[in-house]
Amino acid sequence: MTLKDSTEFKPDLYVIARIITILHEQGPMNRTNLSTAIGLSYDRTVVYLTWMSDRGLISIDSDGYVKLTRKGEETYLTLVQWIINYVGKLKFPRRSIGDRSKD
Amino acid sequence: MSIEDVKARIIEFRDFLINIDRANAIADALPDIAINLLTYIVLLLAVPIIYEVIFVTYYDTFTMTIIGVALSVLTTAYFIYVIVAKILRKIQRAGQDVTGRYAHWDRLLNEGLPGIIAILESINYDELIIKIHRGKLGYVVAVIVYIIISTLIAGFALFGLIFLVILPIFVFPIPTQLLTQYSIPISLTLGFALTMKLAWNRISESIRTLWMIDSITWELRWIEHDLKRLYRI
Repeated sequence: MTLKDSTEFKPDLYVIARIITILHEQGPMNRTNLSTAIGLSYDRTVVYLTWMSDRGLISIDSDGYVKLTRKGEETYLTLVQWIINYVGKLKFPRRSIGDRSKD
Repeated sequence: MSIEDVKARIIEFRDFLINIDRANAIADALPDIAINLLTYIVLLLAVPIIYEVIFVTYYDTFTMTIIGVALSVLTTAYFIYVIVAKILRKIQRAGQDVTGRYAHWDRLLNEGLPGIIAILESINYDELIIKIHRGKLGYVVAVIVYIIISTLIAGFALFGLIFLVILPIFVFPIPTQLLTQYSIPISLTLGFALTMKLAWNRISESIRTLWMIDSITWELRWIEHDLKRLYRI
């Protein structure tokens, strides 16, 4: 992949969150296992890993093992905190006019 | 608060969206519902007038009794047809196909954090806010239709109870004027009062829901705005 490709790449936040979550929960793993775990093709996984590596979220050692950097761990915590802060405080009406479930 | 609590909140969000979709479907069905209800109300008003005209032009106790019974049966049959076969079925159908739209959320929620992000990412917030505003109209319609239908049902039940059971037992013969001119307004007024008494909690909760919907649109706007900011991590 060229540098131009890497900068034009528009990642899916869902895939990034999956990679970060899996690495956070299961620790370092090789690219093949990681692509299987996230359910993405190997080539596509490599594109994401390159993008994340460029931004310092992950590091890949000489054996091909991928691990979260400190920034990656912070990103995971930021995502969790964001979800808890925003979604957690939402309050939804629980039933409609025709709903008799709580009567 | 944990991710598990957030999952529970997302499920509430899904229920809310289903209700909003239902309310939108009801708003779509509004013209049909209004026509059916108006037709029935016109019929309800026309029946006593027809009865009075026949009473004046062709008076005969036996014939009038037959006509009175026939009109009552026809009005009741049409009421059941309009309410059950048309309006309630329309409202029920409106809610049937919306639950399937969010079936994949269960699988995503099992994924935890990434799944929640996928759900939030998949929402078209502009479209959703338009849907919420439109759904408010549907919600108001649903509340009004609910009150009208409940009033009609309670009114009919009270009509039967008061004018066909209780009054004939204690007051016989029943004054004709009371039976022909005031029985329906009295029954409907009592039906309305009974509906409001029995369903007040549900109705007031629906009104509170309408207020909450406004604040939810603001919260969703914030989520959308901040979700875009997450991409800059």
